[in-house]
Amino acid sequence: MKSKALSNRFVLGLLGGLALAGGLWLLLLAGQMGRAVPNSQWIEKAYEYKLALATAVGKPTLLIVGGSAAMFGLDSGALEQALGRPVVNLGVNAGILAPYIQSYARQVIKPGDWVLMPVEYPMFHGRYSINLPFIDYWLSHPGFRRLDVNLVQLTQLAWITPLSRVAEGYRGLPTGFNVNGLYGPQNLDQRGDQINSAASQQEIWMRGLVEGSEVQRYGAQAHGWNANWSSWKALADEVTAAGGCAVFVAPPMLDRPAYHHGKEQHFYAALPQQARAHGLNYVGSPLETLYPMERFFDTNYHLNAASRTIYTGHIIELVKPVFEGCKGQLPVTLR
Amino acid sequence: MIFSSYEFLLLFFPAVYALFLVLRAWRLERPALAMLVLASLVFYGMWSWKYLGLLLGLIVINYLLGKQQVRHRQQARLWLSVAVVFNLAVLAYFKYAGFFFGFLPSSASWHIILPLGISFFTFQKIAWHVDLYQRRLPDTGTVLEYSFFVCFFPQLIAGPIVHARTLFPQIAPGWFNRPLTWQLGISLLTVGLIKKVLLADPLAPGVAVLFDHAQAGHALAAPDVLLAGLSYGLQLYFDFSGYADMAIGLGLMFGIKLPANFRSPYKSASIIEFWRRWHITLSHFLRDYLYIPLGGNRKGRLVANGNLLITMLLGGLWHGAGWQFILWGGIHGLLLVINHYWRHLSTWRLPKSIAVALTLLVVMLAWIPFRAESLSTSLRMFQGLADWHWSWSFDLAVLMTEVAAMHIDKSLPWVCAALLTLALTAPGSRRLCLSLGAGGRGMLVGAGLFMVLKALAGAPDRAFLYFNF
Repeated sequence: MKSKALSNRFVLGLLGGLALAGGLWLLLLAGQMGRAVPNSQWIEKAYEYKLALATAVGKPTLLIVGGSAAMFGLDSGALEQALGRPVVNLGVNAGILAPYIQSYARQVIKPGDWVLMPVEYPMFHGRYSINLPFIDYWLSHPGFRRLDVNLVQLTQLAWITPLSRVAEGYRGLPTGFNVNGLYGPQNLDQRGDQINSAASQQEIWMRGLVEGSEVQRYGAQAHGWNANWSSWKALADEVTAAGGCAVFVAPPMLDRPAYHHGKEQHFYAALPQQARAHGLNYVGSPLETLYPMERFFDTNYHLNAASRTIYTGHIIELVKPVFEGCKGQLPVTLR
Repeated sequence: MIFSSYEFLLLFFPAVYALFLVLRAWRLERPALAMLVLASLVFYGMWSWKYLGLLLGLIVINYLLGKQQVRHRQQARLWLSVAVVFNLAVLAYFKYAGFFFGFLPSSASWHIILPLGISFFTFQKIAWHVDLYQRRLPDTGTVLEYSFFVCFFPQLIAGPIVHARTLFPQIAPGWFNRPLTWQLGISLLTVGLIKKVLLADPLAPGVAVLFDHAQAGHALAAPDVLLAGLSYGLQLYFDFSGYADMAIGLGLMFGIKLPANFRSPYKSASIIEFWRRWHITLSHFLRDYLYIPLGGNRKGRLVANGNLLITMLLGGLWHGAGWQFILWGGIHGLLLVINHYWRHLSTWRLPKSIAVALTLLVVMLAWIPFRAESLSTSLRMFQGLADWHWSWSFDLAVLMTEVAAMHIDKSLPWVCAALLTLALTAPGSRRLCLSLGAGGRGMLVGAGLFMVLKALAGAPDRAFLYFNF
């Protein structure tokens, strides 16, 4: 009897301890939500700049939606010339994942806009996944349903957020903080493309980052239960319903021998077909946009300025007929 | 797989424990023992399936040698010698071949991997043979009992060093009739995890910076040398005593009482007392199976002190194949000899606070060769003790950032001061858990496990320091 009472007291204490520690943690998290931190300021400012550019264009536009591979890899001027309409590059950072990238795109897509989406591969298979850049950004820009963030992601976020990030949130932005360095609006041109990324401007440490970049295992990590096709399909459908046209293409990526055999090779070879099977208008093949080391600037996704021309040329060849076809289906006022 | 990992805490242990509870409910003692042996082999195999074969081979050979000793009592001494030589030879091959035969040109191409826990389970096996010889253990036990004694996973890798004579009675028929002290067990497991994950691991980067600096040939000033010794001493204490708490706690959850390995060693007022509180099961092993067979104190003070010195030098060598470990053992041996002589020659004692501070100082300084990569690095660090200039500064913002990130570097002096205060004032883990009462223990477990699991999310894997020895 006494032993049972002791066990009950222990279990009650255990639950109390869990509730106390868990509650304190949630309070700590909640207390700093919405506060800006230095790490993600460049993303926020880059989007501010790009959204303003897109809003200022008063006629049907080609919007580029994706992560930083698009920001570094596409020459919007060349696209504008080839496709005959203004172009705004909304690509900023793939780390903040599909919920933010799609949400920002929705804020500026107008009826009749074309949308080109060189979406980085993990975003097609991240329905229930999060990462540290996403946590960082979410804590400064929280949202739930409006962002298409699910409960599984939120639970992971509450558990994985490091205490150091919470402390950073409470410290906030230092007085007089300004975004500087390679990333941010200070290095974007009038269409939202990255500038100052010429091969001659590559510093040794940048080269080191490219060389030391991870060999990605997207094929191994792509699981059906985590597939995210539907959210991209929803965005594409909205564009189409508004009289526009949405086209998916492969982003540029550093070539590695591992991508040419086994599961990885199969993943890249099958991706376009898989995307089309899920209702996305995907053109080209990921295997055609893998480039060697010397074409990259500071990561395995960021092309240097000269290589951007090559990738853009390839993309123009792929998408021009598709967008031309799209034009024919539109009302005259939106062409 | 280590105790402080999600794999262990959320998968392996709950699965094994659930099975154990089912078998206990059905009073199936032998199947439960077999299940624990199997689980322990899986636990070891998760580190290396290749060396699992070695562990199994050693179990079989030692068991057969023990059987021979029991069957042929008149030749027991011979079989004991064979067993001891065999076990020491295996240990010597894996641990000391490179050290003793390093002068051979071909030694550079030897890539001998030290099997995890070999230093510990070799000592346990030797103790088992000696206990059989001295008839402190009437029989070998069954092969299942022997396997359990060698590889019971809570103590397999880093002790406490267990004796079959204390373990066998606990798993004898009737094991499941004793009450299961699972609440105390899980409380000790939690305290151990807190020590390891929240206190020891965050010190690792700062400790590495100081020792790497010295290893690279740079000079350290005296305050930094002291800090290097103190910070490593604290890291090692919280890491190793944390491991011991976890092992003892896990043992209790299975109804097995493992021996205590630490009793707040940094509260010691002399080096003799320190060795009664630090790594107690190793001290006992060295005393019972080395110091006493060498003659102990039966042949006069001079020989006794010589034996003590030899014991400590070999104790140092047991920790690792390197001159720095021999230096560490030598320092402790010498200090023990001085301490024994002082006790014999004079009745005057230092005031306790000064004695504790002095003991702490020499123990912490002695950790320098223990952690340093080589003897030359240790000596260079000791040379720095003549250079007294301070380079530390206090910055609250840096302290808060490093504590939040659990990555202590610039704030090492201040964090060490806090941890030292804790080590000097906090009660031992067992006393703490018992003093809390059932509700308090539950709170400790609930809040403690939450914090530990939270801290482990995204933290780098850091194996226990004693896995290296």
